[in-house]
Amino acid sequence: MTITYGKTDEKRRCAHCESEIGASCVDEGDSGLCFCCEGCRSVYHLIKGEGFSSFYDKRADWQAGPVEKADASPEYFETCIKDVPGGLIELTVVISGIRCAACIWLIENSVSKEKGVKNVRMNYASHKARIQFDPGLISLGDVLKKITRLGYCPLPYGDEETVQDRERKDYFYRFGTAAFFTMQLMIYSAALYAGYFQGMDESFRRLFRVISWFLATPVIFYAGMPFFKNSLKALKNRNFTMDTLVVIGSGSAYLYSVAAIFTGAETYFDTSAMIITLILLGRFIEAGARQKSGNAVRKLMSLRPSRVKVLLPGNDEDYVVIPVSQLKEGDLFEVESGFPAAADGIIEKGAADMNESMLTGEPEPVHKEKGAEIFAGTKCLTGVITVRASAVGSETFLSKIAASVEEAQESKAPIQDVADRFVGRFVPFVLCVAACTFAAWLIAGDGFSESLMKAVSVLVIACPCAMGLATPLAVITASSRLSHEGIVFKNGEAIERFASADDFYFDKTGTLTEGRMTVEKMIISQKSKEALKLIASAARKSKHPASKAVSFLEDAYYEARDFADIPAKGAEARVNGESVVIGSFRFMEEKGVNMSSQPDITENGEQWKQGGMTVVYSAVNGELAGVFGMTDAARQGAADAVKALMEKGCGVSVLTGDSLNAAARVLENIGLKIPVYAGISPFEKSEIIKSSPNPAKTVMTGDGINDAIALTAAGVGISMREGTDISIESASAVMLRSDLNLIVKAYEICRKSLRIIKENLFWAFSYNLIAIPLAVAGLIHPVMSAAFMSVSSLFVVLNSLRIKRF
Amino acid sequence: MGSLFFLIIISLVAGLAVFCFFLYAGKNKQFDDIEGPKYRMLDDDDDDDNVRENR
Repeated sequence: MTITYGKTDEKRRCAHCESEIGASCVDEGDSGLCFCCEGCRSVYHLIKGEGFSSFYDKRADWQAGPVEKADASPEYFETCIKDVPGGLIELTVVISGIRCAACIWLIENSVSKEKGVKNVRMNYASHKARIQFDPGLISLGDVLKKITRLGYCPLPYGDEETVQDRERKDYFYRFGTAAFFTMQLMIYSAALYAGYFQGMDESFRRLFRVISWFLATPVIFYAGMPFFKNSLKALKNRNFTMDTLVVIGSGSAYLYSVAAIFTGAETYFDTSAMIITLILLGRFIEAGARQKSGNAVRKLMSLRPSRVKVLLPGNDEDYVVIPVSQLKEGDLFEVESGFPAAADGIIEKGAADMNESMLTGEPEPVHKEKGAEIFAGTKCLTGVITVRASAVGSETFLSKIAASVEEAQESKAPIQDVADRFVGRFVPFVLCVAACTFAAWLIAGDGFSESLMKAVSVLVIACPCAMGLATPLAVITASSRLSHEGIVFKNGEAIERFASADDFYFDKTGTLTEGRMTVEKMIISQKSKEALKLIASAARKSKHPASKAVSFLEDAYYEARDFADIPAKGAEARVNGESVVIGSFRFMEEKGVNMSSQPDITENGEQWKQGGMTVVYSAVNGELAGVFGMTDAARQGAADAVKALMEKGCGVSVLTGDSLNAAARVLENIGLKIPVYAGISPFEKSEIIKSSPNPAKTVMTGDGINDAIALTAAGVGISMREGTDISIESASAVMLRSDLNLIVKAYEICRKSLRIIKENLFWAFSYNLIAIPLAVAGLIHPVMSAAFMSVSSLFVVLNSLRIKRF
Repeated sequence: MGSLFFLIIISLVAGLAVFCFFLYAGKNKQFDDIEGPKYRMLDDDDDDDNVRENR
């Protein structure tokens, strides 16, 4: 088999993940297969080798994209296992990277094929997997490795229920009960309607009414309980909400009907139960949507460094691994390259390049040596350091930001959604009409009880069932449409808020820009033909962002040997038998490179450096070979997205912790002239948003820890896919693809959805407004209220489905 | 007319039994994964002999 690594001429798709193959590919010449990366190739052959090739026929609705490269170390999963009868161990994990139903089929069958695995069962909705295995035959690590080798990433997940799970379950039982009893109730109501038109024996009429009473009671008092509780709470704040209207409508219908049984008038038990049932259906749908987005968001959160290596006192060699929560102030702990620091502290030994961009917004790594302070959550890029912890747990800078996020969340005024604003005006109006009806009939000479009955029938008829479905149906069609586009909104409230927003704020690093360095200018010495390939091959091994940028200049690499990353200086390696050095000007001199031999390279390099670029030199065999100038490149589509928002009449500004010069350079590059607030702290970011003319109408987009408070303070916070855990947690929406044009698209969808919600509410109420005059005149009959109810509900359902067709 | 009363009682008792069944099913986690069955129904075709030998 010949395998070539290199460019392809035609547009091809990866045989495993179906993503379009870009600059680099892995081509298996004779089998005719082509892959986007080595990861996809190995997964493909694993699946073929195990006889699961029908996976590729089964999958439908597959979202293209390369496999996730995951590394699951068993120690993170110790909380997820428990013993089950039969000497087995049960492991519960959430699996990320699932794109369609075939993935679940593959995981279930492939993992259960492993020796010692007894049972694998996955939940299609939550992507939670329960794996039972025999610890004598297979280890936990091997089970996890099997999953990662298939290209999926297992995440630790305890058995605890989330708030969303509980909420959905609660509504499910209440709705199930309500639907069941209402169906039974309708049997007798239908008989009563028929009896109204065709005549009916009085004894049966009475019996059916009594049965209806018994069937309606659990619906009102068990299923309808949340409405009673919520409206009581709202009443204490002197508010009328949806729940108030539901309680007034169904409660008065119920009481009226109980009275009617004894006076022999028509009963409204079916209306009373139907209102509750339909509105519960709406709440159930909404809770399901919330649970789904909650799951999606949870999966985006990466593994936290839940364990830390602590050095034992008085000994430099021995260390113990303990959970982060047990780390104490004054402990010595180790931070390895590639991992975030577990606590704030002072470096005791070693030196490292730390990436603090999530805290400061500065994309360039900061070099830290003995005596320097490091912060929890910042990532060590190169080197290993030993740190004396100075602040742990809730005392760290990171935790202080998390605390202010919580504070901001609590102080955020809950918005009154469209439906509640509607109802707030509607309820007093209905109460007025009912009071007038009562007075008018009393004056006209009807008895007290007769007038009261007519007034109550106004209240009954005024409660629109369709109102309960008006918002949830629109919200769920909108959110399923939005998540299909690639953005998840955590709740319907955020969709409504986003629709009325007109002031947009963007973070710079990682949001408007890629958050990583890209080579903009370079000069390569003519002497060495293959210089670039040699340099890129050496740079590929480095973890430093500048070296990474250099390595992206080439697609094919040589093997690099004797590689060493020297913090704050550069890197060196042997490639193809030649020694390659990459790094700063001073590092070159230290390595004995003659820096005055090629003035065109060094002069340009110094010039770029003064222009604000990061400059890296490189030498091959001790001779200066090239210079690279790099910046944090603007994200593709950022300019288009910002322009589109401005065309819609929205204000756009940039908030950044970086310097004004850096921000200005980025904006100049993408050709935008928008206000910039530069060099500001995370706390100032949220202050700026709070001081905007209307904070509820602001949208903040960001990715770092330093954006978290601002994301919460803004009306709508949108986090990037690569965002840190805390920013994803505090945002009300998360992008699944880091494409800023998604914001524009989502903005349009949300605005249209809000219009549909308003239409729904308007028509739902209109049907009842037509019926109110009939009730005032004392002409209303339960048959009529049932008819209005179904027509308006049907209208709302059909209107909501239009969101799918935009 | 007596038969009508009898039928009403039967329907109410049957209804209550079905409701209890619903609660029982809920307690046994039958509704935890409402997405899965529609896919599993199609998957159980066992066309690869070596897939399920450990089951």
